[in-house]
Amino acid sequence: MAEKASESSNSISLNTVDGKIFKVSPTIANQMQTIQSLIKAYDSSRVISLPHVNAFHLSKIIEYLEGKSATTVSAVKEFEAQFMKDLSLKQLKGLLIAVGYLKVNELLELMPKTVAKLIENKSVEFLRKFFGIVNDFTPSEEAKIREEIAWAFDGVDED
Amino acid sequence: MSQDDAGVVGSSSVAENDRSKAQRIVDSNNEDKISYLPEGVLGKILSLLVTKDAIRTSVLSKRWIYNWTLIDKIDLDDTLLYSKIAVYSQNRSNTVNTHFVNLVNRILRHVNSSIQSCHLKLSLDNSYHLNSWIIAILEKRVQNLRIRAAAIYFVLYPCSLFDCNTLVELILDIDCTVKVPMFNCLPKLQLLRLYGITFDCSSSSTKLKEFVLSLPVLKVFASRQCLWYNVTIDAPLLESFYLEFFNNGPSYATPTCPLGVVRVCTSGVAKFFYRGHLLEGIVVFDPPLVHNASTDLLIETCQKEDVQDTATHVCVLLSQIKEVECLKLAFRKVYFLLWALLKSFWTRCVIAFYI
Repeated sequence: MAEKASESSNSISLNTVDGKIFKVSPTIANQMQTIQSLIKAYDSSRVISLPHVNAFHLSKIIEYLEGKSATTVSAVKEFEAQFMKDLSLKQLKGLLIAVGYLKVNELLELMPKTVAKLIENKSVEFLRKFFGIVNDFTPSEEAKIREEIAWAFDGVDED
Repeated sequence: MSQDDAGVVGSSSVAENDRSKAQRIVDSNNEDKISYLPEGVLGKILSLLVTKDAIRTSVLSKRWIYNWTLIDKIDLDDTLLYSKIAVYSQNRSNTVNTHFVNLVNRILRHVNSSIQSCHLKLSLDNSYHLNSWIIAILEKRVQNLRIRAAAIYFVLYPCSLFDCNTLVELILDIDCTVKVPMFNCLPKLQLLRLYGITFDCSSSSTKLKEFVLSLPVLKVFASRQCLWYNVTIDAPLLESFYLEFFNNGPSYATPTCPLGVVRVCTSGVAKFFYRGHLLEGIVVFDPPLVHNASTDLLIETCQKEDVQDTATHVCVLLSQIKEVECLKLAFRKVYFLLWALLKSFWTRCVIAFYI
């Protein structure tokens, strides 16, 4: 990967959960808040390991940050739309976890919009299936909550 | 293992042992990742949904019961409920409405201590809850408040509404009377739109002439069908001023109950719009509008006998905006007003007449 090749004296090494080392420039690293605080705690020569991020997700995040900085202001929207479009649903969910853990602010603005678009006005059953959420309510517990918020069930899309 | 299902879910909590890590990595394709997102991310996603959608997530699983309280935007529209009312029996619709009221109360009790914006669209039946709701909303340090409610007669009393130091945008579209305290100030308000509001300043002071709305950073002001008496809008940074008043309704201005003077204290209105019937002294600019302002007037008269009065009022108004760069004037049913105007009016303005 290109990131690995970029050897600069002050680049920062990140070790993903599946054991791949990424070297990134401080500019990129500093856009991930979690890493920014880790850099301060570690001395610069150490490899920072990221227990919640795999290589694919980190490479996507780096791709986004580098791609965006290389894009002109007017083309950013297009770039972002394409970036999100290229992700499968499964990838999107995984990446969201990684982005949430690393606190990549720009993606934390962008990705929730995509997710919200996907789930707006969808039924509970659709959401459970969509996110793989296991319903742990008893039928009577669920009925009670549904009754309390009955108003919110008006006009929901058919699955 | 494909690239993407290796995502590690996590309570970002401490040291997970290798076994559980391995287990998570090989978890089924459709594992529940979203439930374990950090609160900040979940809150962002849920805030992007309309509140109704966000609340519905409380049925997903036990973990989700209170996730919706992370939202920082409230967006509720009970007219959706009433559009379906024919489908419900009366009993049923009462129940649903009670639930709606309880729900709003619950939202205001549980939601984050601070919210960014709150938009409420309410139909008649819930207007009477509005006073307590507004107090609760303002306590949440809301910045953007929009309320549209269909009320026939109704008094909005929370004084805190005109003494709120977090509001940046305020839109009230309620046919109601608003009690404004004598000492009021909205230090951060940049946009104020008022529709159908009657100002009641009676409790504040007997000296009504001194009633001042303090809006130090206001940029946009719009008022449609509002009634007030001698209100001074003190908004030094005002950029756009829109006033619309058609003297049609039975409750509106009559000779015995005139529409008050709106005195605008500003040095920089760039755009001034007026629509409707022009009554005596309806708008006074202090100081008069400056050179680079633009003005757009659409004047109507109600009856033939009013024409001469209107002409006088228009002249008074125009004398304050003599020097503006661009002036658009349009009249309906007021042909012979022109001579009165042209006689008293000479500037370098661009004048367009639409007759």
